[in-house]
Amino acid sequence: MGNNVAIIGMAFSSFAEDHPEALDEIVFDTVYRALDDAAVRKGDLDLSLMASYDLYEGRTISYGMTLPAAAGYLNDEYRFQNDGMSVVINAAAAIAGNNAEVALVTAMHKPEMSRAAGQDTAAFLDLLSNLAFDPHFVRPVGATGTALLAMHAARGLDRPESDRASLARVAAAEINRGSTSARAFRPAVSEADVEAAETRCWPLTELMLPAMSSGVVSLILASNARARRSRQAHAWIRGSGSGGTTYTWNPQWLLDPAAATRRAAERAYRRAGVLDPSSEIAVAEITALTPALMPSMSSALGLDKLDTTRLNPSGGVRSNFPGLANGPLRMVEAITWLRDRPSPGPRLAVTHASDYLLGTAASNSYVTVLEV
Amino acid sequence: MAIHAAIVGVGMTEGTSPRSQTHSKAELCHQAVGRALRHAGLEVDQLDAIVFGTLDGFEATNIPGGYLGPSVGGAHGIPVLSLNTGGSTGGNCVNAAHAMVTSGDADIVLCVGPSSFDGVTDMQAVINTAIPLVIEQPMGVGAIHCGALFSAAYGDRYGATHEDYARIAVKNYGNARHNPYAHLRDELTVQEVVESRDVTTPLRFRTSCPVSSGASALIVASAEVAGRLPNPPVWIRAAGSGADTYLGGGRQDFARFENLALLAERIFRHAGVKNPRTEIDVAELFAPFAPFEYMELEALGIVGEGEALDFVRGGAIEFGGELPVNLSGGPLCSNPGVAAQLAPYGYAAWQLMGQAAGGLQVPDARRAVAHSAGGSFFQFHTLAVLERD
Repeated sequence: MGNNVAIIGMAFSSFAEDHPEALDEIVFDTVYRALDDAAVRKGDLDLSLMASYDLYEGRTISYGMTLPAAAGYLNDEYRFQNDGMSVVINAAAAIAGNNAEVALVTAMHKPEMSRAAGQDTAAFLDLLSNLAFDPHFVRPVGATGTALLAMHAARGLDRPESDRASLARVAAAEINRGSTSARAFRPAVSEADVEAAETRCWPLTELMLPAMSSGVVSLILASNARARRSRQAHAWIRGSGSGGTTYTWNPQWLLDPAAATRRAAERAYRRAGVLDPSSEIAVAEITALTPALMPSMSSALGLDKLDTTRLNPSGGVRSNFPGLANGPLRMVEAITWLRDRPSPGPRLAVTHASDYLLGTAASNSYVTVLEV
Repeated sequence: MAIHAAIVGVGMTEGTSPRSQTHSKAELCHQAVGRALRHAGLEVDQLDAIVFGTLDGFEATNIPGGYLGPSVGGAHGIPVLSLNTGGSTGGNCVNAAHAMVTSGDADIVLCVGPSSFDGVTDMQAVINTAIPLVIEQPMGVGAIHCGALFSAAYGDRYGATHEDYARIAVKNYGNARHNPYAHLRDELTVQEVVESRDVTTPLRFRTSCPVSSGASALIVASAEVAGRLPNPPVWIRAAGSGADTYLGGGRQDFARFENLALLAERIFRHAGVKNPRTEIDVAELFAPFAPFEYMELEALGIVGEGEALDFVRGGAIEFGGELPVNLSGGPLCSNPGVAAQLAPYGYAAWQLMGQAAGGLQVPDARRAVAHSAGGSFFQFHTLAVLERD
């Protein structure tokens, strides 16, 4: 991919447990502001790609409703039901392959449920997760993504260096690091608060799991030539990679859930020419769905030696996790962090996201290396 | 340097009805993928990525690619992307694969079209949830009603008769008799089609698609890989999609597929096709309702507005005619959801490889169009121009 693709526009909605607006209204507003940020018009777009999920949105082909709000009218378009970073990578591929010059990516998460109305959003998401497992073996035992994440975390507790307090310590540090961020969804907490929070699935408490929010993120990508004629290039995508897992057909989901991330990172770093991530990367926004996954994900990304203040300075998913919009939000956070700390010369960020519906069982991982 | 992408392998399973299907979705996907890999001369561990089509709401499992993808071809840790754009999902799987290959992100991408409709007890009720929710959804509108709106508008403007619609059905059912993967293969007469029961005016039972069961798979590869494989590469010269408004009222004119016409102009321009009527050798069009074939011929610019009736009456789209359409039988004879939307790309590729399913091979076919469509009031269309050297 080289230096062919830039992010020239970005916008995001507010993030909240519930949005009073209809989903297509939030999408329209966010896309409008992303176009404004990039100083391009709807007619300049060659491609509108989306990440959303029908069943969260309460209807089949929900994309039919949201796409026109995302500048899809009479445009090339399609949608993945994976994390939005997969869509960013595919949009960048379309540009790199000369199939488009300017592309819009819109990722969203707004379940048709309302806590304000007394509905149990977490139970709804768990039900949809359970229905995504195979119907013969894993679904009947009641598996959910959260349950598999908990099984992985519980297995780690067998090790002498790891206990529930250490999980709480990692989670509290992330939450506190992000608590002053404009997009943070959780206030500062103590380790005791994390450990004492409601247990969602032992050993994981509510505060150890991602801070689920509703929201929309839009990015506008452009070719090298178009980016150089644009108002700005927020960042250049220097490398990207994706990796997949093996479902429960193979114990990797439990023994080595970072394998997909390792494959994605190797590819992204190779394409970006990054040899020693810990020393070359200025900031990393990564997705560790539980604190138990943080060491293996950091290691898979080659970030073991990265200064901890530069690892998820936004608080990561423990501060804000807008479902399929998580990957694009991680990119926004990394870009914003670098832009707020100007220094001479280009700097690199690594952003990482993974699917979460099936926990670690069938979870693609995505990595991008951004230059700001 | 530009990287070109080609279809190098196709696999399908035999069609039947969901009630008669004896295989699970997983088994069908395994069969289709296995056949595509063998057809391409590839091993499963050579795949770089999978694009797995899905139609949540219809499927008995949410995002089935999540658990099936690693099983059918992703066990070596490649990404499995779940793509869902309604009735155009199959075509858009090819579009996404095309982007991945032409960018150099992947060399070999597998597209999987699962059997989407197995287990659905009320198709129209599911489709109804996709319809605009303020006015049309409470009225109970489903795909069949959307199809009837277009069909009635076309018939009203151009004077199409039930015999005209029946002519399409007789042709497609006749073609399907040669296709081992088709679901419905009855030998029909125009009279029998006309006398089949009303479904939604003007659509009759035999001019409406069935609900079928089956799976399809297709492999897209880079030119470098394609050159080493046994089949003649089928180049994707141009491919894309186009979306209309969500609300049916945005169609402006129900007697035309204006969105498809705009898409066709764009795709033909990219492919360098100036006169599709003379430059296209064979077409596989997604026409789940017989009148759609007339409208799609006109939207593609193969004939002018209102001219498709005479074009078809003259036998131009039959096997041996000027531009054979749906030699597979098309979705009027087999509609297993995403598998049916991916199938036009597969059938067209087989034609260009000289390996037509069942023997209705267009002699020396060099260029084809493949199309899929769906969504609320047929909001979405995909189109590709495929060529062989």
